[in-house]
Amino acid sequence: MRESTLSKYILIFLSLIFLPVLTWGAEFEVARGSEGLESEQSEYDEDFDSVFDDPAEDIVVEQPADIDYRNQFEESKKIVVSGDFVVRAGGGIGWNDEPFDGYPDKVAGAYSKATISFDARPDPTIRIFGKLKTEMNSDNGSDVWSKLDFDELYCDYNWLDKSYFRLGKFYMTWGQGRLFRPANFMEDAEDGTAFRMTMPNILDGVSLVSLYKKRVFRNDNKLHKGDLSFAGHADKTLGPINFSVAMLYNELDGQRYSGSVKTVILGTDLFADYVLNRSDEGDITHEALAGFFKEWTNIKLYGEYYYDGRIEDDIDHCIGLATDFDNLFGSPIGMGFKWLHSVTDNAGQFIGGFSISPWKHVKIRMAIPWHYGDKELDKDFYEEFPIDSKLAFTLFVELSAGF
Amino acid sequence: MKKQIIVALLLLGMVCSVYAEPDYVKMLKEVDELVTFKESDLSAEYTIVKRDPDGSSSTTVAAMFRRDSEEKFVVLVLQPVADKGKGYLKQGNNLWLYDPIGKGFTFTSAKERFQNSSFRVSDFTGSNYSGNYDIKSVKQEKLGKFNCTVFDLEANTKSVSFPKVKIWVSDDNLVRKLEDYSLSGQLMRTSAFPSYQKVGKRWVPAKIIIQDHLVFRKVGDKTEYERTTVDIKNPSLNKQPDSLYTKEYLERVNTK
Repeated sequence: MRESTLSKYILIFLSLIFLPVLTWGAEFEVARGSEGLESEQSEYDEDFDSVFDDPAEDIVVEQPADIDYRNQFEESKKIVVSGDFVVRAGGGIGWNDEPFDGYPDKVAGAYSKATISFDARPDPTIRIFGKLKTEMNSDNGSDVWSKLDFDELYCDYNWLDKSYFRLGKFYMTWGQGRLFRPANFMEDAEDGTAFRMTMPNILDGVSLVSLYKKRVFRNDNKLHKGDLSFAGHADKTLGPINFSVAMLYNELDGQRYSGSVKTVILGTDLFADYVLNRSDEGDITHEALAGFFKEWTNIKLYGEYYYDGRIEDDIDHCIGLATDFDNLFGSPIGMGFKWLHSVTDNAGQFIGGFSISPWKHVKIRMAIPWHYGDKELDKDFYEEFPIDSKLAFTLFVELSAGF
Repeated sequence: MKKQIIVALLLLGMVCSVYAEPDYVKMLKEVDELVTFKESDLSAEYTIVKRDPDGSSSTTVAAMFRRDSEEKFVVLVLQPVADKGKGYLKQGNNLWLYDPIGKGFTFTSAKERFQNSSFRVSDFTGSNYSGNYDIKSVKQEKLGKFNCTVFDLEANTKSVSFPKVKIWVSDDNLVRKLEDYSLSGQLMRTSAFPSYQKVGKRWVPAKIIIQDHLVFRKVGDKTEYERTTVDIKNPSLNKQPDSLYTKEYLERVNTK
């Protein structure tokens, strides 16, 4: 790699890390008042001190309550059933051929999803949780509901508050990235069956996982090479820094190792992941990620840099930025964007838009998705939006309700 | 010789007058010790009512578990039902939140607002004024029925929520009023602790009233501030298992 190119990447990396720190370095609080703050100092609410004129007497609790508040979370006499339904319909115009000055295609579609969950906690040692999901996405050419399927179904067992066991189909997320997830070795868990043993009292948590996922679709129930993966994850916080290490072994894919650090500086989360991949043939490749996350009352902001060195001839450097504003200026308007960009391929994906919630359960969403260049960085990027144009202007109405 | 005796007497007088001053550092330590449960766990139910300047209000009920000897606490939301099981774990100055959507944990600082109210997550713990702040000035003041010593304090660490605070300590060494300031001296928040409850050898507030000076509305000549009222009920000293103060526990009790 040429020195100037390397310098460019180092500059991007440092900017991503230090930009939020510099921006918010001088800040200790976010002012939310509707008028100038300086003038407020002289207008102290003197009524406030009246609470001391005749306050309730201090009391001595002779017999502290014999209540175990944990029971309210760990045990339930009834099975808790909940669910939600979302239907989204709309359309727009889109272009597939750059420079996007031709006659636009008309984009239209509808998407619906229904989920129902049950949560049974007959006693504090055991829990059974299931979530059933069905969806219909007209963009896939489907006008019928998909087969009702378990999105999650698992059983938890608490062994003497020393180890927690979970068996079934469930989601797990490892690694620090939110836009790029190189250290999430548990990505396959959403399509497989896993057994996890967690020891919360060792270090700051140690987990051992065995994960079963069929490599290819087949009807037999034989165990094939690569169907099983074994993984471990450990966490430890030392002072203000959280360290975690993880490893994954798969007979077909080889081994993966990761190390992560995370800390908070001036209210901003800063994190980094390093991943070493060792293939079955002994080839070694590297991945790395660094980023920040900052949250205010109604605003979230993420930024990440990702180095992908898995393919020798196609080493990539990517950056990602995402933001989400809720209740813009106290209104029911929300705004946000997400942008992923491959520096090496000069390609990327962007989606930005507004949402307005004029009435309860109803949301109007306007979005501009734009896919430029030839590289797809995230296959789920436009998830739930029936869009197949490279650039589009879309308007959707969404109805959602839960119970 | 006469001159030397006068100088010696003056010096002695100065020394005596210095020693006659109360030991405010020691007093501040006692203030902290009275609300810090080093010998046992503490759990209690917190009802937090936030009243916005426009008159609307929202209520959160949470169970709080504290282990002050290890600087840990866990807060789990009981109400509203939609947030039940949402949890916070504090270890030292670090705070963990479980994200049920992303199935992961957020690692952040303990200065966060609790459920978007004026009550901070760090307010669930006992105080450490003697360790985190230096005394800048002290005076006596009457606060309603309380005779108070008023301390002006400045932080000696960046791990606290506010760099400057002013506390009113009553004769029984309990903090009755607290003003939080920004580095520039801007008043951010005023808290009142009108009543306490004694559990074992230590004290827990029974009621806290917080006025947020950054969230307000002008109505004519009057300024209405966001006000948060916290009621703390049924304190318990029951010992809790070590596994409670772990992020794995947050994931286990989450209902999403």
